[in-house]
Amino acid sequence: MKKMILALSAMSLLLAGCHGAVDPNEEDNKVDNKVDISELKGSITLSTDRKVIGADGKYEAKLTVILMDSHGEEYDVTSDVEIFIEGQDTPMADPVFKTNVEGDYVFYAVRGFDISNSVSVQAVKGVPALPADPDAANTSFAHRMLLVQHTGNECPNCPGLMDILKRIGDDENYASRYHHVASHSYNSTDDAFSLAAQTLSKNMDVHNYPMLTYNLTSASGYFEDEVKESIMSLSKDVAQVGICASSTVEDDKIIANVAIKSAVDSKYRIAVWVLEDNIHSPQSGATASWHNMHSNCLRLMYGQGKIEGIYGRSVGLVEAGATKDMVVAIDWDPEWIIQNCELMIIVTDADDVVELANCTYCPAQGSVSYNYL
Amino acid sequence: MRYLAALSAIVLAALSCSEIKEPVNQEEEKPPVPEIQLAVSEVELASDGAAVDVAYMIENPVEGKKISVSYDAEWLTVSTSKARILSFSADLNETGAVREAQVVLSYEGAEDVTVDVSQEFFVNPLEVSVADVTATSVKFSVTTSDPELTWIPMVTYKENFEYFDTDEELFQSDLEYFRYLADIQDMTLAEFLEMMTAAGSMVDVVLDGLQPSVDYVLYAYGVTAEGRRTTDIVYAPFTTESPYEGDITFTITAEELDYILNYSIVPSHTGVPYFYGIQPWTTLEEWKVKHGGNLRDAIQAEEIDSEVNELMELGMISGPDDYYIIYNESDVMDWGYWELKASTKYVIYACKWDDQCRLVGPVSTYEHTSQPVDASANEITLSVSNITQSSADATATVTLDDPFVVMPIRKSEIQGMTDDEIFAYVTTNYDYLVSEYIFTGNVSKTFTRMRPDTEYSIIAFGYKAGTLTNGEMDRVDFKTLPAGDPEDCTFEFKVTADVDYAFIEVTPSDKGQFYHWLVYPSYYTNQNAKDYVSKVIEASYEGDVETFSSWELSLGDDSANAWDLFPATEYKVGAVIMDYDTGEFLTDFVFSEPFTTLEKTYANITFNFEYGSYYDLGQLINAGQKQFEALLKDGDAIMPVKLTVKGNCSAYYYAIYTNYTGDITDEEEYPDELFHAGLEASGFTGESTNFIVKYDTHMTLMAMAYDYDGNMTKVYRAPLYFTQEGVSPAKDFIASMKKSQFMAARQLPLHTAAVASKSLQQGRLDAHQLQAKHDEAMAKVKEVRRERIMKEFFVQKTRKSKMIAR
Repeated sequence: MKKMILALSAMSLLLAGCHGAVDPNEEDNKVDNKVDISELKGSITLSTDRKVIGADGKYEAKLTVILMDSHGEEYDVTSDVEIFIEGQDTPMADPVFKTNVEGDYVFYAVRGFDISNSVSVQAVKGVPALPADPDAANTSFAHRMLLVQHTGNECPNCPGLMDILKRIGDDENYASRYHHVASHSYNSTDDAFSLAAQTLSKNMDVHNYPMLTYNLTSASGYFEDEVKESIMSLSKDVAQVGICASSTVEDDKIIANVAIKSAVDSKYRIAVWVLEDNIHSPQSGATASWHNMHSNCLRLMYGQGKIEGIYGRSVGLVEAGATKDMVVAIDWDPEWIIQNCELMIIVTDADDVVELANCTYCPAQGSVSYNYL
Repeated sequence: MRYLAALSAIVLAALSCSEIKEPVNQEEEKPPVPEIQLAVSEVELASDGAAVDVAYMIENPVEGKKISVSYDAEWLTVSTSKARILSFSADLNETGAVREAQVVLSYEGAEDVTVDVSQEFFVNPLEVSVADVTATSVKFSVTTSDPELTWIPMVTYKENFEYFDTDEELFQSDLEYFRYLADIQDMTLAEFLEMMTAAGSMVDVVLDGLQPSVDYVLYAYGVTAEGRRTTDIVYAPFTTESPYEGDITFTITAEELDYILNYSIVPSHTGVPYFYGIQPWTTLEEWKVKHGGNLRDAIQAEEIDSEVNELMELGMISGPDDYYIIYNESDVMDWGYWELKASTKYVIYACKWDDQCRLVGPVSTYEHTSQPVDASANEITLSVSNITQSSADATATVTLDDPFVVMPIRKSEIQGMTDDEIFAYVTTNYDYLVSEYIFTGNVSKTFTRMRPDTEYSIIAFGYKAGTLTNGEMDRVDFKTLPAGDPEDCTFEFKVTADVDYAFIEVTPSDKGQFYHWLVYPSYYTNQNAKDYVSKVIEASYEGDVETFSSWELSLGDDSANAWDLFPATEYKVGAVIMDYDTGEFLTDFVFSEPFTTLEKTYANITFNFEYGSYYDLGQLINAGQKQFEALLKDGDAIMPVKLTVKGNCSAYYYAIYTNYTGDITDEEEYPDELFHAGLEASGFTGESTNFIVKYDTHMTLMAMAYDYDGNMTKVYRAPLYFTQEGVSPAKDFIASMKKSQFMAARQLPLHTAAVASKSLQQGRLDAHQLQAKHDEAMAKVKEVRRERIMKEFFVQKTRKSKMIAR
């Protein structure tokens, strides 16, 4: 089993840069509060378990304040702080935020004379309901590995890999084991090019085109036999986590509701990418007309920074049989033909190393249910 | 920043207050008194004025009342917009003195509290000093007080540096330039600046690519990735040395790795133009024999003059000066690369030359003999199956992962040869195929484009670095199936048309017939098409039927994009069976049903150019503007142009084209498509620029733009003609230069890419970038010229690979 090259230690450092030193979803952050927290001294960090909530008065963003003392010990001091919404004079009555009003809300906490960082929560209308789970007790999920095709319409050798992918895609024995994303990063004049693709290919350490990388690692291949071999070796008979999602388009936003259900106790991250099909971009070296038409083209990776974008935002520990959900709101580019867009939802296992646990497509205006075995 | 008051003391004070708030009895009860509590009594702001937040508390608050602040300092801002937080901020303190202010906090019913605020003055944390100057480079050191300070070095002409009255004007000009460079490299400004900036002190930094005998100014300043300047601009003027006029020598070094030779050439004096190359020693010896043993004469005649003549005959260059532009070096060359054949002696050489490609002075050489190749014990077993009229499948199974070649060849060509003779024959005559058909591991491959009813051999042999590694060849002989009567062959065509191209699929019923296909205007007759193909053979291949057939004739099913079609135009595909050896038409043309390309949607964007005045370069130079001397080779005068575009414009490009036979505003004669690639690759994208123009020459100002839907405009065209009598006073231009960054661009010759137009903008460019841009421009010129050869025809079929059809 191939593991991510990204070690946990490095990930932790990067996360600190993204949204504070503490992940609110990490159950390990639950601390021994038998001590008198009013006596504690140290810096405080505010975090939220949701960056996006429905503006329906029901969705809740839980705010948590963690104090780190001079020994590096962390304590939950949420009950001992005042949390403010920027622009309001009075502190929140409790550390849970819900609203019926759309907008971006900024929060900060004050404890005595200590001030925390600020965090923001976006409240949006029209969060679509998740599809009903027909078998709530079931945790046997089908697994898909992820193939990322690094390509470009001015890459003269790329049709060769397109042909290989078509042949493999036509063979159900392989096609049922993976999902595919095309990262058009070779040339920026490609109509399917995106900065997200450029970022992804760069992070997958791609220098030669065309190239296929597997499961968000830099492990790569090009020849048909090795691609087939990798699909068979990297796909699993059973996935440890299932994915269901609904997505809708509201005004200028794609709003998606994503849930995962785990078969084991594990920490996870959820990544949401926007893909577009049927992008017409004349292909250098084309030997068939379909080479000029490109699908599953990466347009955007949702999240703050490339780590969240590629590997996903942490949703913390999910216990066996339990679910966790996440709402995302994505500003869609008017250059995308939204009817041709879909989401690639990727769940990574954020335990010791980041490893792709499962992935699925979801229409930008549709839903996908848990894929049980 | 420091908070001088101790938190503990405040907490104690607060506790004692709350204790005395307890009522002693009802009669003495008084309303609690509000009190402002603060953790600090002093706030020190950084010299850049970054905000400092300080928390406060109101003990015994009164509903509806808010804290207020008052202070008498224009440089300071104190915000109370966030509940329980006072936010102190200030501008950059460039006064040279510490600034101080008192902020009074007030709350109704409470005693005022005072906070002392101070801000250190800004100290320039950057120093620059020049250590050494050559004809083409400057070596300098930068010292920073903060090891994490990020800074960027720049070099510009002294006059140019002096045009800017303030650091900020110069910086804003630079910033605009950085945005331009970032844009053309598809980078954000932040990405570009992260790439270009250095952090902390550095010694012996070298900027090269400068011109000899020129007054420059080296300057540097701190800058963040976001494009915020963090220091004053520090600078050091210097003058480059004169170019060395005597003979120069070269230090050549090389390193071989897996039959790749990486080499570098260091001239004894940079700034002097020189030519370099690499050849097998035996080749040079043969050349020398022809030229009386004189190596310099041999290289001059056999390499330089020979290539110049060949390229001129092909129309790829107009003369030796073009060759000079492409191949000249004048600085350290450290990217030499050559694929070696095993056990072969090579010679790398370099020699000073002039701009007409005449070698002068001694030739420096360096000899390198490549490593021998180990013999391979790989056993290759070859089999051939599925033999058709034009193809056969070959399968090679091997015992080791050593490289080997599998390739087809006509049996008659190697009849009676030994293995060594066959190896020598194929590596000499078909080296391009050998390199294409190198494999490792078991392999199956279908070879196509064979002639029908013909004996072929498929051969397999171990191969590495030009060497036969396994001693003997495996070989399978076979004969392809016979073809039918050409007249019985039918064609099916499938066309997927777009605006300016169409994907064509051609399926002949007889896979053993060589045929020619092309997209023709729909009105073409059989005779029109035959005349056209005959003209192609004569005009483009100079009657060389073998080369024509090799490049142009198809065999079996074929498909490709046909490019460069006109929008909304009716075409048809035509195919005709031809004799591969004679070029004779064996049938009449078979045409597809006509098809029409899609309508083109043009962007609704208008161009508003402002230009008219132009200034004589000679007058500018005489007025002391020496930096214009370098532009004299490109033209006579400089003309400022300003462009405003209206509409939903995402990008625009403009340039001046030259045509010595008249203007090029006639769209029929010079269709838009001729200019799209050139304008996009080399046109200007800023709101204004200065073009270098010639007198008494017809020129055309051209522009194109894209909207956000990807539609392009028609090409804007305005004829231009300049005379020496019409120039405006040089002083007007000199005055205007103080207000804008000097950028100059020479006109683009018709049909060729701008060679170095952009490099002329780089008067103030990091010299490393200048070299990189120069290399990029040169590579593009070579590419464009190569492409031109292939695009002779008004309807262009995608270039086919040269396959084995003999």
